[in-house]
Amino acid sequence: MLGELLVAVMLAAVQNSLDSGRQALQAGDLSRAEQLFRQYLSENPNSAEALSNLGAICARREQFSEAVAFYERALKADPKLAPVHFNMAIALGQLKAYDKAAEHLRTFLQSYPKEARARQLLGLALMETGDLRGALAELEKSYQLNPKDGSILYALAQANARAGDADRAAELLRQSQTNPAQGKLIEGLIEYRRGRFAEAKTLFQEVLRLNPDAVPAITALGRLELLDHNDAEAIRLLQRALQLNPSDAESTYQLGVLYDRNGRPAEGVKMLRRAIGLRANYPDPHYQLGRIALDREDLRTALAELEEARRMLPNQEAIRLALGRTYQALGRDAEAKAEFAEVRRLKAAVTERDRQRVESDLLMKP
Amino acid sequence: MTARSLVLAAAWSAAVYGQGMASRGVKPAARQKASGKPWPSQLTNIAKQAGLTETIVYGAESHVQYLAETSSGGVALFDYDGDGWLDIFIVGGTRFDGAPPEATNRLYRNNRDGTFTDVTDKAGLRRTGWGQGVAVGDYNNDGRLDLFVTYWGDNALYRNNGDGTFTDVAAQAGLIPKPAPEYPTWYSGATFVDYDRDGHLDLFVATYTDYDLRRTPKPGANPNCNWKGVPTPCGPRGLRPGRQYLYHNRGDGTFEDVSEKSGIAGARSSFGFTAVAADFDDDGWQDILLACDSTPTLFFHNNHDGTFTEDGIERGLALNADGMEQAGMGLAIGDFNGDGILDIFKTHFADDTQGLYQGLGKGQYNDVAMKAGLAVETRYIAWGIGMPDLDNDGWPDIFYVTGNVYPDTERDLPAYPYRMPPMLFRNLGAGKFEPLAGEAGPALLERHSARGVAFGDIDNDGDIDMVVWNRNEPPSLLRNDLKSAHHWLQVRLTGTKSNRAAIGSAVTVQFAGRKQVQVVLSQSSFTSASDLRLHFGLGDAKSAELVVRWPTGAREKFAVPGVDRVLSLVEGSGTAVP
Repeated sequence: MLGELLVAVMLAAVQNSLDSGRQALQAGDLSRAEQLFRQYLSENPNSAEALSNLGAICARREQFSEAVAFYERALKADPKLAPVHFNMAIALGQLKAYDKAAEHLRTFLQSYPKEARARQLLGLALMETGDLRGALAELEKSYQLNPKDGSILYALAQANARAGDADRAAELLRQSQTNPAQGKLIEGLIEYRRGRFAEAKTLFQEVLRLNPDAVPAITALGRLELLDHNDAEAIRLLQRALQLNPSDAESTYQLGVLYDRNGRPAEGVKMLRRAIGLRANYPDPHYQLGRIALDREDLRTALAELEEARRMLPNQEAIRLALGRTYQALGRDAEAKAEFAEVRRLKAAVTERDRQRVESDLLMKP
Repeated sequence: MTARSLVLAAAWSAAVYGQGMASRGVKPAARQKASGKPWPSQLTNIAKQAGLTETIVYGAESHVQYLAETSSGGVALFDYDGDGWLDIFIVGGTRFDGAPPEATNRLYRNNRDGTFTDVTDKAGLRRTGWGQGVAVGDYNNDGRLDLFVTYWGDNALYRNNGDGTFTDVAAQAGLIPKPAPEYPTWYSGATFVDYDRDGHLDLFVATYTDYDLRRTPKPGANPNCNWKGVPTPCGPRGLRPGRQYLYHNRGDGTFEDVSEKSGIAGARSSFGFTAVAADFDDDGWQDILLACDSTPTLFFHNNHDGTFTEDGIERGLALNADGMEQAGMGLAIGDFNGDGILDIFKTHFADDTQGLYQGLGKGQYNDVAMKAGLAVETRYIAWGIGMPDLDNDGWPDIFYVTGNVYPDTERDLPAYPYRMPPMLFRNLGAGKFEPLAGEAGPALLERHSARGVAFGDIDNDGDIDMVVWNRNEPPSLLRNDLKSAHHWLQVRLTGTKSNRAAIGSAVTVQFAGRKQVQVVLSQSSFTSASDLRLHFGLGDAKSAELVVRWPTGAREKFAVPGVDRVLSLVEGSGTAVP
């Protein structure tokens, strides 16, 4: 009798840990949620829900490789859990594994064919894989399902612009003028990502005329000035962005880069370390710290920082190259060779992806 | 879900499209105070008075639709008739809307009086097509210099018949791929190289892209067809990189395609331009370096067994320090710091620094362009390049030509004009350079859309002159008028065990406690060929010693009987003969 009661109490406690984990996750207490889900998992090692939630926690921490591992275990436990396919796709997208992300989104859409966001993401994934025709079809469907969603509208506009249908792209962008500042900000970001920096700069300046405290526009302008080597102006803008939002990791990081290259190395390193503290799993400052250390022939620090950066962003050729050089300097030739081979593979993949995109574009033409 | 998805949507829409050419947005570094040292060399364009008046036709003069109309530039300085005076070969082009009569390659014979005569037709070299680059060598070891000319289309091997004429023997020599490639191949760089040390010149041929107009979008069609927001011809990003070729010389006038078994064909992801062959790691075997546009530069290391390993990344040559590919155009090989180790200079697109790769030994390199003071100029698109010692002070200077790819973008982008000036950097010694402009002569102030440049002593007066390929203009002939008491030495090499033109030989001259190494190159600059004679400035030194490393790997010392003269070095003779 006592034994049965004890078991019942224990079961309740375990069940409670699942519920409490959900509550902690909703409240944003990731550490507590993780602890509770792990506790539940110790008793229920095949719990798809616990595994899925642990994946979600990793994703929120931007630990996407770890998130994918949890999601894989969750799907092994219950392959029919459609939302896990969606979350898996998001994590894979962050890791730039767009082919696999598209597969999971298609699986998800079999259960939820009217989920506009999933169709949008599938469209974006297909764009990244060079399937412009497929991307346009999915984005059009997504737009039909939710024509008021700004991000869907912009994605569709961008895809039409890529396909050479500038009229359709412009028509879509015109529909979005409900919030001029936000519209111009997104237009600016699109131009920035296309490498049309002058146009992007004009748009960000217009955003600031409408809203002088728009941090994303200040940060983006600062980044443009940084790229343009107008370092003094870049520093001014990024310092302003940090005044408005002291926890802005990106501005902190960019200021670190600027300080270092403007003869303020100690302040630069300090800002880079602060950026790491502000955002978990932020590879860029680790890379910069590694590069700085490599230049100073502080190989031990370089190795630690660059290996950390590689763990977070394994497909970034600059990181792999710097790490290869560090291994080379340390006489660790086999590891250096492996890094350089990876750089070569990544570079070739970029060239091939560009080519496939152009060929995909051409196939669209009558 | 919504917030996360929105973030992701933004992340995924961050297209990785690049601009047509790799460009880093680098502004010029601050200029140091000028040294104030007098500069004794004056460069003057004497093309018109020398008779070089024919326009080099290449693509449309405006409204260019395709990249193929913009990138050519082969020019060679070589002595085709063996009279001891440099002649000029210029690669020509055509136009999509019909070639004008002047569209052809050209051969100008040196009249030995400062003028030239167009002997194109007499020599049998008239050909209208999308010519690209040129390599010089003596592939059949008959003592007469032959030409290999690349095309978007079938390449030409012009055998020198020894009577002032040439015959295209590419097909019978086995240099036209069979079966024909699926898409027309845009060949670019090429270099003769004796990679197996058998005394016969083999041939490396680079490809820029498999280029089919039916599969090439029009200007502005996608982000690869824009430059700074202005529609431009598409590419190279988004185009299909071609394969590289290596042909083994059988010694009977024919070649075998060994691209696959040598490992050369394995590197398929770069857009090749200028090819240079030299023994970069000083192991006695010829390696091949290929400047590549917007993709990693390729370095093919000779494995001594007929195969190559591509290891440009390992050697610090493929990418910049940030891991970014650059728009590699031209290559110069020299020894800027006088340490007896080969250094490399590579030209790039606008908004980027040029690359000065200091040889560290054993084929390892480090880009020191910034430290050397060469990053003070990033406005221009740089092409043909050399390290000529223009003032004969014993320190190789740097000269490169520039020009915009796109004739029409200057309307929207006035900071990037179509015609641009050449750049000259004087070597100050101690690894430092300073830019010179008008003080080095009126030619430095002229603007053209130039591509290739070839270096050599055209008037045999003991200093280096140049000929420049200008798009849709006549070429420039830059005469160097040097007023200096500095001494010099030129050496002409003849192989006996090695290939007869001695292509690939490295000559180290030691003088006044210093040394300098140069290589006999079949191609360099931008898909061009400079004089096979090597020119050394000696400063105030009146004596010197020469060491030749022949392409067979053997080293040979030569005593120098005197300076300010051309010396003939025959392999195995041990004696330098005026």
